[in-house]
Amino acid sequence: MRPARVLLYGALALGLLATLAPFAWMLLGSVKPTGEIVANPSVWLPRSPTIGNFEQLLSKQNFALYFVNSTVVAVTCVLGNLLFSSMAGYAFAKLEFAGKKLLFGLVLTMLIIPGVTTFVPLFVLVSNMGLSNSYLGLILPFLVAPLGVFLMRQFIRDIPDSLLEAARLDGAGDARIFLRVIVPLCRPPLATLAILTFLGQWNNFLWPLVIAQTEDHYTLPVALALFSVGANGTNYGLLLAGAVTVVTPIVLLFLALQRQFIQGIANTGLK
Amino acid sequence: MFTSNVAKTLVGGVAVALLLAGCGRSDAPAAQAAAGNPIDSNPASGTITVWAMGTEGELLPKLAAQFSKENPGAKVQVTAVPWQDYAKKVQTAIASGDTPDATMVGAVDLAAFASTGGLDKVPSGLVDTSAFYPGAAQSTTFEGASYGVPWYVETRSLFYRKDLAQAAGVSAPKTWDEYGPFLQALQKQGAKWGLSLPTGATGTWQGVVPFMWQAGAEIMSADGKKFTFDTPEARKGLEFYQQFITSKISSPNGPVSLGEIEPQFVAGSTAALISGPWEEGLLKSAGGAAFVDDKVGIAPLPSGPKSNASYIGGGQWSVFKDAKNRDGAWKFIRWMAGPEVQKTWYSLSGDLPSVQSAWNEGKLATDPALGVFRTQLKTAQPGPTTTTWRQVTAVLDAEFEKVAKGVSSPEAALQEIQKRAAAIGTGE
Repeated sequence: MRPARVLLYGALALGLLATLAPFAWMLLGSVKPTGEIVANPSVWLPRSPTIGNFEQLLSKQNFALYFVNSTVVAVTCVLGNLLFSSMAGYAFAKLEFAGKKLLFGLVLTMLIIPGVTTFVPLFVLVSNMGLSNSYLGLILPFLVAPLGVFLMRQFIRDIPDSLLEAARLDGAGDARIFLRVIVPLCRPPLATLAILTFLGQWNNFLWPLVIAQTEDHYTLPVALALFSVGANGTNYGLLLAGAVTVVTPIVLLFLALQRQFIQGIANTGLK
Repeated sequence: MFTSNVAKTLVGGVAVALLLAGCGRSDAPAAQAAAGNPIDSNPASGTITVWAMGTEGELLPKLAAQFSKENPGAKVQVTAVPWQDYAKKVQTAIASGDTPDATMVGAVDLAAFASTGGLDKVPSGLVDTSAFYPGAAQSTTFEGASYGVPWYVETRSLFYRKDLAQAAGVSAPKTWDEYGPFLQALQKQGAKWGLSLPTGATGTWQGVVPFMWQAGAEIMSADGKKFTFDTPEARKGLEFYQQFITSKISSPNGPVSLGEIEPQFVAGSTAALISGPWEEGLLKSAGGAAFVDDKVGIAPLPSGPKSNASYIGGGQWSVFKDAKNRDGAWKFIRWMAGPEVQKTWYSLSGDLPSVQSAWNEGKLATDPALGVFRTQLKTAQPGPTTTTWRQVTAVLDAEFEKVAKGVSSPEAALQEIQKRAAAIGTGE
């Protein structure tokens, strides 16, 4: 038992190291001058630490605006997904209506079709609605996603019907059942969905790049690419400092929702 | 939880989705621009919306302000777009008709954009094509017509460790015959590798095809109808590339990512590399300004049997067919292609002017490093401007890698390249 345990912890520690090393590299690199970042043989600890990269990043025009844009888009998409996915999930799991199977089939189909194939049509659609270069154009296509509907439906299916029948006997309508019974029980998958959506939107590059026609609608990843990736070279210091800035909110969010997240994956994953 | 029920619904869903997709097709008529109409010489007016990439996008508003001063009725609205995936942005914009008036275009992407039919042809008489470096003008043409106006150019020359060369008592090579001995002399001074060459990473062709040009090869027939990689000259060029590796002057494992080679050059383990005007900045951040001043030499590429042709790249300007202010956009572009404005832009951005006469005074005329690029630009060539060229470059990169690693002989590689390039075709 003991040697097995040692082996297990050893393997886990190795895995942890492999996961954390790039992260540590990013953190350390963000406070190095460029010469040290690209030095060969590589240098782990900064020899002459500097906050120059961050200064350069923050001195870029509109950086605060890009941060706000990213936050507005990500938070709105999270709220939209939580609301619409759980409502749709409830309907697909517990209500009977004509065409339910067909509609759910369509939802699953959307899950399978790769996003790249619908990218241009989606842009043409949004652009024809006159929404290019607007917050609405950035947000609207992502307010509800098939993955969220599927996730919620799977979780809600496992809530016993007897619970809902009891509520119905007590005189509760569908809206009340949904808000008072379903939603409180769905905290784990909702937390999962919140994190997945936030991550997806926070890191989304291509859509904001294409939909934003002026810089005031750029999000962080687009702005970061603009500043640090050149035609013939990359400003690694700026890129790493930007990456640290971009990733910090995600880490904080994950830490806050960690318990629900793990539970959510365990409950709704492949069973 | 994929029960057979779920599977059934899924199949039904796919069928319906396909049906809907089929019905939804409707081709809206594209806005008809007055394509090719000449542009008058009155001042520009109205709002001109343009996209410019990266640093150029960040700096362009300064230049545009001057244009607005000279054309009080016009306002240029610049959006800075990242280089990363900008081609997707341009192509999506063309597909939807939701475009700005003009955009900066990387020289290699022109054919792909022009082939969509989304770009306006350069109006006749807008600019004097012969004022540009010939390679730059050549890179704006697609199927016989011009779709862009060259703005700035870049080309590649030889960067070498001046200190090692001095210690070895050798000076920069002028011909292929002097090339190898020069590099070996630097290696004797302690450099592990004489010259850094690409050996398979994306874009390797930009480092290898010039050897073929230097040997006298044309990789495409003059009428642009077929690729011609199966010539003795091409083989000579590729063999010359290969001998650097077999004689241990160049590593068979060349740099894979941007920024990888500079530290080795600074450390002195690699004594020379072939790069463009931006290299000086990279070397400065990797080794410091003093390093660049004291230890870095720049020389034109050594001449082969035919020439010392290098690769030319850069940025150019195109106007979209769906532009709302077509006249204003072309006027802005015409203005930017003037020698005086090109000089101003050089002092703002450091981008090398595409107009030859802009080099006649100031730092552009006197700086020795810039003089090297100036010489190089006269013979520098772009890759073929066909829509299929990107596909062909993937074949080139893969086959050149085999040559570099000793898996394939130059002759066999060129046969394979010719076979596959012929199958891909020139898009004609």
